[in-house]
Order: sequence, then C-alpha cells, then structure tokens
Amino acid sequence: MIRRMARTVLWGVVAKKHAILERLYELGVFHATPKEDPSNVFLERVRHLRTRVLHLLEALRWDGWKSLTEAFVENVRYNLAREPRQMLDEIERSLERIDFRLNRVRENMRGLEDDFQALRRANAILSYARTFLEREHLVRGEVAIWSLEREGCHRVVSRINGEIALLPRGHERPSFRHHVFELKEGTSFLVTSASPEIVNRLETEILENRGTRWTLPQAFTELPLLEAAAEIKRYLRGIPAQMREYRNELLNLSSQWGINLAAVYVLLNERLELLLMETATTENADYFSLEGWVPEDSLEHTLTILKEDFGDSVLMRWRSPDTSKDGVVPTALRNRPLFKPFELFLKLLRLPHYNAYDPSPMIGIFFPFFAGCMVGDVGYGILMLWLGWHLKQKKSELLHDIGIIILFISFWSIFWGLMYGEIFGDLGHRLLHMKPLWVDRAHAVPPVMFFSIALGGAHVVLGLLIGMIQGIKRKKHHLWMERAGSLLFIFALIGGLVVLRTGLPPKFFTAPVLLLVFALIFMIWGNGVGGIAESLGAVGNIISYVRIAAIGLSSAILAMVAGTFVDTFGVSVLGLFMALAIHLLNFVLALGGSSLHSARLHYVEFMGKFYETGTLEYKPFAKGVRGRYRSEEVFS
Amino acid sequence: MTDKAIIALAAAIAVAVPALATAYAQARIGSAGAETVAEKPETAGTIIVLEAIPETMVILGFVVAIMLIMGM
Repeated sequence: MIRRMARTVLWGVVAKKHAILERLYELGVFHATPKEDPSNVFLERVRHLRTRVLHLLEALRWDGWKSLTEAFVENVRYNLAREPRQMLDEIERSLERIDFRLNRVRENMRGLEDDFQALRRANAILSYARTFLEREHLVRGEVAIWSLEREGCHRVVSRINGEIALLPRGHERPSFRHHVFELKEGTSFLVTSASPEIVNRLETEILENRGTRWTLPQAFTELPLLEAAAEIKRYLRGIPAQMREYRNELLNLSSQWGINLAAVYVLLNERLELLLMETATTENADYFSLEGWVPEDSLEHTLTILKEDFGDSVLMRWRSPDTSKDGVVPTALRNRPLFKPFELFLKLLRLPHYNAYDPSPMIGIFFPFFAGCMVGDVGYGILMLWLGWHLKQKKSELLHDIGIIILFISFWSIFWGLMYGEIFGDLGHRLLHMKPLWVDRAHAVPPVMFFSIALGGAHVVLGLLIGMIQGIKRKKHHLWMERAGSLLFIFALIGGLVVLRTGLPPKFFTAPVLLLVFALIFMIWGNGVGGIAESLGAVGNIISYVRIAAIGLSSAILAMVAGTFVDTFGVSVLGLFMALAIHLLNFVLALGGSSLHSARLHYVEFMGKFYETGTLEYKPFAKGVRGRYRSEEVFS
Repeated sequence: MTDKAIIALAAAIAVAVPALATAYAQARIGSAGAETVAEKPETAGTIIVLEAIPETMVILGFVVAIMLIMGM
C-alpha cells in the first residue's frame, strides 16, 4: 500500500534551529525540497570537498565501504574540530597532504610506464639490429640506425650503392653496408655502416627521403649501441619490481587513508544534507519554518520526540494533502514483510502516483504462481528452494528480496510439478512411477492452454476492475467507462462462447448480445473509437497468457530430452554428463524465462489496466547509514 | 502431400514466421535498449518490458499451430 502523507509545517525558535534540524535529520522522516542557491559559499565548499574526497577514493582504488562502521565514523567526527568552518579547513589540509603523496606515487608510476614503453621499443629495435651491429663492431665502421619508410630504405640503398659503383677505377671505394628490418607495428628501420667520406652524403639522402636518425632513450645516449642494448635489457628486467613497489605504496596509502576518507565523505554528506535542509527553511527574526511531507504514521512519534527535546521552542502542524495547493505528493510504499520483496517490480519502473493503487500484494500472489506454473517441476522447484534460501541469507537487500521471490516461485514449482507429475522431466515417472495429479502437460497441451487462458482472463478482469475502481475514486469518467466497457466486452465474449460450446438454444444469446451493446456504449462514451481498440487489446492480452502453457511445454520437453540421453548412451559418464548439462541449461532457462515472462504479464497485461507512475519519490533527509556507505551508490 | 503433412507444414509456418518477425523486432529493440540503459540505467525495467512485448506474436502463432494440429 501507499503510505498516507501529511503536509507538515514545523516552526521553531531560530536560536535552536541547528539542533532542531539535526534532530529531524536523525529521525529521518521529513521530506522537503531544498532551494538551490549558488551564492551559498559554505554549501558549495562542502559540496566541492565531498566531490574531492570521492575522486581521491577513486584514485586510491579503495572499495572497503562494507568495512566502514558507524563507530568508526563517530570516532573520526570526535577527532575533527567542532566548529564547521574549522572542520572544513582541517579536512582541506588533510586532503592536500594526501593529494600530494598520491600525486607523487602516480607520477612515478606514469613515468615508469612511459620509460617501460620507450625502452621496450628500443630493445626491440636493437634486437633486430644486433647481429649487424656485432659484425660491424668488429669491422669498426661508422654505424647508425635510421627510421624511414620501406620504399625510402630501398631508394637510399640503391642510390648510395649506385654512386659508389660509378666512382672511377683505381679510386679507393668507400665501404657501405646496410640492414633493413621492420617492427611488428609497421615502422621500417635502416641500419647503416659507412666510411667517414660518405657519411654526410648518406645522411643527406636519408633526410631527402623523409627519414630521421633513431637515437637511444635519453639515459643511454652516451653509450655505444651494443652496450646500450645490454644496459636496456638489464633495466627492463628491473621495471616490474619497481612497478610492484609503487603499487604497494599506493596500496599502503589506500589502506592508511581509504577508510578515513570514507568516514570524512559520510560526515561531509551529513553536513551537506543539513545545509540543504536549511535552505528549505524560511527564517524571520525570531523563528524559522520548514514545510514538507511526513508520513501520517510517523507524525505522532516525531512530534513527541521534538516536544521532549525542545518543549515549546518547536511547533508542528499538519493536514491532509491538497494537490491543487501542494502540487505533487511524494510516494512511499509500505507493505507486509511477505509482499515487501515484490516492491522491487515497481522500483524497476517508477513508483506509483500518490493516489494510485500499489499492486505489490497482487504481484506477490500472482507472479510466483505464474512462474511456478511455467516451471512445474518438483526437481527444479527443490533446486530453486535451495537457491532462494541461499540468496535470502545475503546481506544485500536486493539479493535478499530476490531470494524471497525465488522461494515463493519454488513452492509453486513444486506444487505444479506434482500436478504435472514431473521430477526433472520424466525422471519421477521412470524411477518412482509417479503419476500426474492433474495432467501430463508434455503430452496433453490443450488442457494447460485453456487453463492458461482462463488464468489470463481472471487476471486481466482483475486489472480492469482495479482500473475501473481507480477511475471512479479519482472521478476520471473516461477511465472507468472504458474499463467497464472492456469488462462487459470480455463477459459478452465468455457468455457467447459458453452458449456456443454447450449447445444452448439461440435465445440464450440475448444476454451476451445485450452485454456487447452496453460494452460498446461504455467504450465509445469513455474513449471514442479508441475505447473499442483498447477492449480488443484486452482480449489479445488474455490470449497472451498462453505463454504460461507454451513456456511450460518447452521446459517439460527439454527436461525429457535430457532423460533420453541416458537412454541413448546408457548410465555412462557421457550419458549422465549430457543429461546433467541439459538439465542445467533447462533450469537456467526455466528460472530466467519464467520470471521474465511472468514479469511481462504483470507489467503489460495486468498493470497496463490501472498503473500510473508518479514523479516524486519520498526521500526524507535521513542518516541512512547502510545505504549511504555502499560503494555503488557513492560512485554512481 | 497428405493432409497430415499439410497441417504440420502450416503449423510450422504459423510458428516460424512470427518467430522470425519477433526475432527481428527484439534485435532492433534490444540494440536500442542497450544504448538507452548505458545512458540511463534507471530505464532498465522499462526496456525489459519493451523487449518482451513482440513475443506475443510467437505466442499467437503457437496458439494457431496448436489449433491446427488439434483440428479445432
């Protein structure tokens, strides 16, 4: 159900404003809309610091939110200055210190990474050139490495060789030897060894071909190429250890500062929310007022606490919401523990409008029923029971809720498994001679199909009824008339089918025809021609429930297929492995498919008849310790 | 071709054609949905619903196929 809200105004003495707001914040029931004020320097400073803390936590790669306890936060609060501005100064100074140390480590890591890349490339180049360099080292020629395009290499070599060949006979010919290679990345290199008299000519030719001289990385420029190659190799071997050292330093910083920063984040967040709460207040000379929403069931408790703490310094008045004056009323859901997990389906869309109907209990009844009907296998039901129980024990609220939903599905799966006589497909029949209590769905499709349609009819009629009641309550004539028209149309169709199938005399058609006439009147009155289309859509919606039978049938047949592998291969390793693999696949498909299709039947066929999404969710100023500490919320 | 074979072929077509159409529609909705969820994760619920909508075509095809096979 949707919690009733009260429009609440709180007046308080200005001198006790901070104390009153802090108490309200601790109570966590007051929903108010803060006013954006960019000129509020203090608030902007807190916001900026909070962002900075988050960035630092991200840079430190700290993700230990689960280890952060309320006691630790209180301890950090105790150690910080009481006066807010002093506290911010203190935090800012600490952040600067951490920033400095962190930047130093990160710069070192970046530098090492750059060195590593440059040296790895130099090592590759020198490895390709090594044999040539060693040979030339013995000859003692003037050796250089050039980077230029492959075609350029060949042009330079043929030009220089050509020029040497053209020298007159008897003239001492200069020496020129070369080696061309290409790195994996596609860059070509030319290694040359030339006599001093042609070195300049060679350089000019290479430059003309858009080549450049390759030089060793900075720290090695003084060394000869071969020595540099050995030195670079040695240096490269040492880099991983150095990188590990920097990583350990980062890890130490993270473990030293991470949790403290997280606590500071929580405190800043608290401060920010209090400041935002302050912006929602209106202040006069002696008193301030705060206007907002408090759930009706929390009013008395809130007032009692405030009166106990502040006596006559605080005054609280409330009234029922009036949408014409108050605008949008925030929505909050409150359901019995049994149905609470099913609120998840509404959160996946958006919470309903304040005056709308909360279908969580209905989803809680029908969702597991439909999903269980699709799965319909005692064996799979027991596996789901185990999975649901396991998830239910999890601390995460989401996993806990999913666990409870799976538990509900498992009960109905076992029930329908007995009805269809299925334990891991036909294994129950093979081993225990199990008989279906109702029907063997793998061999008799129509009964399950008609049952699904009947189920769909009941579900859609329920949705239409809720829609009609909502329309009447909210005085939306077109809505309730259209829904009433659709209902009458469905009843007329059912009536007509009953007369046809049972072979009743034609006079019995009068009632369905009359219903059809009334249906048409309501539909056209309610929503014109669009109303007729809507009603036809409702019939389509009912047929859509055949998926319960269709998916169930495919699941049952797949489970039987798993059994046939044992027939084919015998009780062998291969046969059992194939059977288990098919069952595992079928189990995953059954759980995923049944949940998805059951959800779809609710979202489209059922809730489409009445569900109205709201625009404002009830979000009081509150401490919310657990939720606030979760990393996914913090970093989102 | 025997009557039984024609009915079987008709039932197969009744499921196959909507299945292809559904697959095409779901592929288009799915790719657009993935982009939407990447930009706005809060739309995940709506996208799941939209993704499941075209499946009604196959369900209707299945009903027709069953009606053909059962001779209804």
